[in-house]
Amino acid sequence: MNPASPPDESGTVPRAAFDRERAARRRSEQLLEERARELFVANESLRAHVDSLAQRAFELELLHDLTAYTHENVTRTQALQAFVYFVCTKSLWPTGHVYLVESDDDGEPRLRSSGLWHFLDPEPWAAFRKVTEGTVFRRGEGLPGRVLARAAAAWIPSARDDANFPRAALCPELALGSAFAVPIALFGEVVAVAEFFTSARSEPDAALLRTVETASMHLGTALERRARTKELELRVDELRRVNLTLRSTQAQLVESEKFASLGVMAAGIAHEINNPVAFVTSNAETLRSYLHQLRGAAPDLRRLLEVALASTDADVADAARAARAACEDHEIDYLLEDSGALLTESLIGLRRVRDVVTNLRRFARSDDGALAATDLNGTLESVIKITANELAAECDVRRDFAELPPVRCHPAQIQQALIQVLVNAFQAVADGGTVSVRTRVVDDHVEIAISDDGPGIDPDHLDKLFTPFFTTRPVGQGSGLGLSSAYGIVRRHGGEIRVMSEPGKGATFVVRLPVAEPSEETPLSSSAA
Amino acid sequence: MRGLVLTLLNQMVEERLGFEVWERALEVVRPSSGGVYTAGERYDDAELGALVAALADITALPADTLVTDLGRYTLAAFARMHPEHFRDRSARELLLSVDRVIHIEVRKLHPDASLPAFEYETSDPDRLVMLYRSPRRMCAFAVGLVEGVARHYATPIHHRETRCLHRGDDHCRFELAFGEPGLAA
Repeated sequence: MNPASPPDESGTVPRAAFDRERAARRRSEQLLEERARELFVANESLRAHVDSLAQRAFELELLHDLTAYTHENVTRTQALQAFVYFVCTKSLWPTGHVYLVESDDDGEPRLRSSGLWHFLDPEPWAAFRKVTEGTVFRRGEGLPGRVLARAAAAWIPSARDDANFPRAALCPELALGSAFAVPIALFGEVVAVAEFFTSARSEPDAALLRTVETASMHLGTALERRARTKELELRVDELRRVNLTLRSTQAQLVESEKFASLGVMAAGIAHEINNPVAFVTSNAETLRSYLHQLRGAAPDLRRLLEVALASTDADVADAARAARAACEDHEIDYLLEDSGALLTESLIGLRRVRDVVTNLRRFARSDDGALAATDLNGTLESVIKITANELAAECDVRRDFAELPPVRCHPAQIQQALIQVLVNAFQAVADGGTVSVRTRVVDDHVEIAISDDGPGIDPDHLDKLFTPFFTTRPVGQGSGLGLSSAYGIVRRHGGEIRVMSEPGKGATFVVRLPVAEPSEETPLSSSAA
Repeated sequence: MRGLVLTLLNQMVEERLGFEVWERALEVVRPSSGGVYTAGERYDDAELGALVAALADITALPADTLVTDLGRYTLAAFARMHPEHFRDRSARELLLSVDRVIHIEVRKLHPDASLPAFEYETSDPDRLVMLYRSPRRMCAFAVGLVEGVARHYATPIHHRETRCLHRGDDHCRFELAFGEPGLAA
């Protein structure tokens, strides 16, 4: 039906029909209203869902990427850089930066730029970057200061219009819109503030803020985990070191014990040998003097024999001939001569036995003698003279003496010990080489290092070097007591003596002596007194 | 402007003043739409103003009175059409939801239509301050809505407009005080 055509010829519509039509229109409009509203409400709720899903997806993506990255073994700087990068790229905010918390001279926290940035396009932000990196904020100052003071995120809809955003005035050219910042806390303490900027202005986006805050908490947790791991590693290292120290202390104790028992034994042997050696020596000297007297009488006896041989008395001449025959048979002249040589050699041998005993006693116990403040550089100088004259005609001696405090010690003993070490060094370079003598102060000790560039020490020999009677020289050429007596002396002075050597690279002996007076007795053995 | 306001005006005029008055007003105004109003369509804001002016001329009533009447009429019509907005609410609660209700009822058909904005000051539970901002400056219509709410809930509402867009303020400020429900205003 054409609505423009009247339903009857008069052109008027009956009232009832009109009202019906009007009512029908209202009902259809009402229906439209209702359906439209239903659609709208459904649509709105759908849109809200989509928004919240998008928000959730953004949140998850940010957290996932950040967690995946910080799970790697990254430094704190790398983690902070990653945080700014991920927030910027996921949220589409073009610029991000990290302030680090430091303490001023009064221990008050303040914020200084970390130099860590993310830019979509660094060009427009160049001046702002310069200003930011040159600005330090205290608690409450500017955007990061506010975040530090409240330990909570903050949003500035318009940084240019904000009363507390001093950097805006310093960059008048920059198109500066909104800004927000979140704290990054470690063990409950804000250690950094991450701030983000855009050139557009926008009202606070609670969902974005919440997401970035959650991400910053994740970051904090990751950093805490790293810090704990690091601490644990440090503790393990320390334990390892302590363990090593314990082991070496134990080895030293065993060593000391070994030397202590050797000391006891050496003292006993020295004592036991000393007496017989003394009377054998005394007897041998007596014998030598007897022999001397015998040999003194020999020319007279020889002349008597000559006279008797020439005698006319047959008995006398017979007896003389018999005596001469006996002398020739027994080689009396030779016996007399050789007895002297034998006795002399015996006495030399006895002197050597005596020297060995003396050295043994030196290893075993301290001699009496006064403690004296001693200039060890002087001692070394005289020791070098003594030993070099005798042993080191062909070798070069280098001195590197530091200024040393006087050391309280038994000078004669220390001299003896240093002689032993130096002799050892000179023997190592007997065919030419260099011996270096260096002194220095380390903490409360004086250190004397004596190095040679000789053939070095066989690693198998290193731990036996200070053992009495250990020697690498042929039998009869070294007693093996030199270094062990030096060891005993240094230990009794509360010091230590170490050796470092590699075959072919020479050897270095280090003698460490405490500057302070040694305690009354640092016994090598309980019997050493 | 949603056609609903115009169809309601049409309906109100027909009911109260008669068919002819509406026809005469249309003849005076000669709106570009030809006066063919449906609730779901959008129309030029100026048509409402012109119709109200013409009606005021014809009836010798003040234009504001007509607009306030229309506000009351609209509220009553709304209560019939969308009872779900009114159920389980007090007068004050309904007024607090006006912004949201208008939002839905306008945007559902015209997502990009401009909306009047209401802001509220709610510190006192017996009072309510409504701030109205709209380029249409139809505060008389808002007064009608408030009176319509009072009638619907049989709750007396004393209202005072202390600032007005028509007096050069940047918003209209309505201070409302609520009486006991069931008592006449």
